[in-house]
Amino acid sequence: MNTQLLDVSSRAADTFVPAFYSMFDRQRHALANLYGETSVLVWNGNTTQGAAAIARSYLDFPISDHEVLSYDCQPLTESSDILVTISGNVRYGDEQRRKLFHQSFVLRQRPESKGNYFIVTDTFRFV
Amino acid sequence: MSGNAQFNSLLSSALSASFQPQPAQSPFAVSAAAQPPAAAAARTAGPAGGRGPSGFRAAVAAAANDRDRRGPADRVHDRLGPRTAGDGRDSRDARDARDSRDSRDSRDSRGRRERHGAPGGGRDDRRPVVTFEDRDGDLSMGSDSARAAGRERRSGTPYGRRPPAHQHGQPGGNQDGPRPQLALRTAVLVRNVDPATPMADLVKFITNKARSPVAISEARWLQQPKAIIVELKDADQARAVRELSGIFFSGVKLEIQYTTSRQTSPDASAAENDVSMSTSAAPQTGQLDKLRALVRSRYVPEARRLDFDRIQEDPFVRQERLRVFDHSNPTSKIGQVLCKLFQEICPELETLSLAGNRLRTLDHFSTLHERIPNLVNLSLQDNLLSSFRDLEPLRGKELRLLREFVLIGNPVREREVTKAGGEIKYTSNIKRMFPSIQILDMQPMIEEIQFNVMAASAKLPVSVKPGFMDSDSTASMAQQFLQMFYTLFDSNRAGLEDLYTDTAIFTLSINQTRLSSGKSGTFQGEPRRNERTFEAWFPFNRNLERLKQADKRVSMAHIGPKDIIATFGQIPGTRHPLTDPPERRRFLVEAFPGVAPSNYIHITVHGEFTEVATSEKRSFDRTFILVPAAPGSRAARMNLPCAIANDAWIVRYYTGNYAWSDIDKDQEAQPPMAPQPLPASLIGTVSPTVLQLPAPPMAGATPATQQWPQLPDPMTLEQYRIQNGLHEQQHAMVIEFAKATGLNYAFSLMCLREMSWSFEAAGQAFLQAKGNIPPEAFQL
Repeated sequence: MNTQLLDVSSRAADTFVPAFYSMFDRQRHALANLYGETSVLVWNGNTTQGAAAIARSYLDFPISDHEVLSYDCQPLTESSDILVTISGNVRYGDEQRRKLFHQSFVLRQRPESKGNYFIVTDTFRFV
Repeated sequence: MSGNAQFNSLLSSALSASFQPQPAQSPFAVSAAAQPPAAAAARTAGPAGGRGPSGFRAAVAAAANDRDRRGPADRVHDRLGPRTAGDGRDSRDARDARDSRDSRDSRDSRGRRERHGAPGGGRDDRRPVVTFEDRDGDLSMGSDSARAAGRERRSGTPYGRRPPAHQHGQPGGNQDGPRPQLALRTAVLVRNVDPATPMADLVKFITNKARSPVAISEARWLQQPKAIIVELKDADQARAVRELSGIFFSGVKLEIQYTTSRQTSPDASAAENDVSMSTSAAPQTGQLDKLRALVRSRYVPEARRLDFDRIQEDPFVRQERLRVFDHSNPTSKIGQVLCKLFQEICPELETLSLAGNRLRTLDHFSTLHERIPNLVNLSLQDNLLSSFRDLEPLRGKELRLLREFVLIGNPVREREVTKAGGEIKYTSNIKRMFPSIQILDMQPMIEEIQFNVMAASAKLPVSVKPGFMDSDSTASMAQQFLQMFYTLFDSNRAGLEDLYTDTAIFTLSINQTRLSSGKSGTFQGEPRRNERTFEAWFPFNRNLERLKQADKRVSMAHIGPKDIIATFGQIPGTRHPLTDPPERRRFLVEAFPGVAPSNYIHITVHGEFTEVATSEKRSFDRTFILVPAAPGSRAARMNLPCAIANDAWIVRYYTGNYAWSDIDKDQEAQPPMAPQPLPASLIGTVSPTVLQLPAPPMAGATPATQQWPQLPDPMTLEQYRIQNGLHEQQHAMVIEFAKATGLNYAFSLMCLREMSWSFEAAGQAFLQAKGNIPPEAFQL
């Protein structure tokens, strides 16, 4: 295992995690840019495929406010994919209570542009 | 090596089980098969019980029955005749006798007459019959209230300004606008007139004496009671005439009252009185029964209208000396009782008149919106309500169907509309208090402007569902794996060594935020105080949110089986509730293959464990990436189908399973969701020679033993492989592609070859060409 990959992927997570939730909370229409045609979303047991469909389904969500409490990152050992796992909470709309959630992403390099990654799977669950 | 021996036996049992359908009683059994179909929810509930149309019929019948028992004429009878203890019994006897003599025909004709008469009008005619005397001044209440209003304003005529209806033309004159349903009184009843007096003289007298110009459209004698009905052009004029009550005409004091007799001929009135005379009152016992009888006598079920106006003038009230609205007792609960009686006796009530009851406050009616939520028309005409605050107890916003509202003749209205710009303020204020009204004081209101404004809803577009499994085989595999993994993790972590690939990575991160310490609001779940912190766990915490030094980030990632097992040896001991039955839902598992071209299974498990040393309960989320066991690897030598390549564990404060424990209940409460198609990119990405075959789309509904009509038996398939010179991996891809697309072996092979063995590209080519593929491509 190239230890540099651990560092690089960790810094990728440093960039990705705040960016993703900031976009979700404030620029949700732009989220499609983070996904690809093969991407799969598993949101609390509901599956959606493809950047357009995923972004569209996110647009139906109420106003959100995510707070990330911990995140971690590992390179997948059999490919150049990256696994990011997040624990946090979210408030929707005018809801008083925040919901605890867990989200795991697999990030993959875009075949057409080296070094540019997209979300290939996105698994979200209230916990 | 007892650990290894134990592991071996576990593995072999796991393997033997992994190719069988669902082993029983695992806490991880949350597979697709274990998800109860929402449609299975019993739909056996019959039609809702409760009060249907029969309720209304019953109310009508009760009211009619009560009218029979105690008509207004009875009250006349009671009042005029000397009242003795035997009165009621005698009357009842008389009625019984008469009833028994009644022929069917006479009863029918009576019913017809009752139906033909305008119920309200008829009664209004009747009511004054018994009010010849005015001992306590109740009779001239209308004038009293007018005078009171005048006193409160300290000057001028109480109704110095006309209601807007008459400034802007006839109420309801706008053809498209809402039309008033609460009839304003436009007629008065004049009594004590000498029958010898020429009608013209009286008309002239009234016209001269009224404070404002009046135009009498009709005046006629009534036989019963002996009085003159004077019809006027509008309610304002009626009021002007009404105020003349008490004036002397030909040496006699005239008694003038409102009436709504326009539709009622004297004949009908007399006829109804005849009918009423045939019945008699049952003796009333108790105040509540008296009130009940009073409400019944005032209710017109066919019109769903309750004329509870000028109630102290009611002969029954006077006779029984009832104080319905006891103004001397502000804490009186009578209003609450009345509202309850309204609901009990008039459940269909839509139109309620409380006019002329000297109401100074509506405290009495603070429960009206609960008792009569479907009220449409409400008149408070000619009461003593003097400020907007007096109206507040009515909870106008709760009366969602209220359409028409009358406040004419109340000091609040008369005062407000005489102010400069007061009329628009008055209208606006009332509309704010009673947002649903369309007609105020007989004047149609301009429709409110509305928007499709969305509140900051917290409603999520889709419901939370059980753990996602792309197929039964993935579910079964994940269940087997987790059962084996956690059994060893709790009892013999060293035994897990062979489960990790040589380059496997394990990290642990701690979410150490207490549940109750959110920035605002609280979390769901039960925050527990005095929970132990994670000190024993901190040395392993790779929470990148806090850990920023590059060298620490690298050293906190544990790579390879030796490092991982060594770390496991230092992490606090755990006890996962593995023996709990699945229905306890200690765990929620999601498992599906990675998106092509990656070849792995992604498993995420959420659940709980107990720290052995402290007995502290913790919650966790753990993601595993399982890859096919490489040939010759330790896992392969152990006959394991797969090995752990990545293991990312998050430990946090205990939240139990509230987030998913009642998912199925939610599902039952909602209509069943459309079946979810399996994302195409998840199909067939795991090498079937190593892992179990992922089932086709909609795996949950497909039997595990499904046959593929376009594929031959395995022996023939093997021949195809040799004929085409394919190695095992290619052969497996062809079969998988055939299963995903329905193409036969030859076409699947053709497609994959053309796309340089890219499963994804071949899949897209298939989708694009789908309409042009010859039918034989789907045949064996």
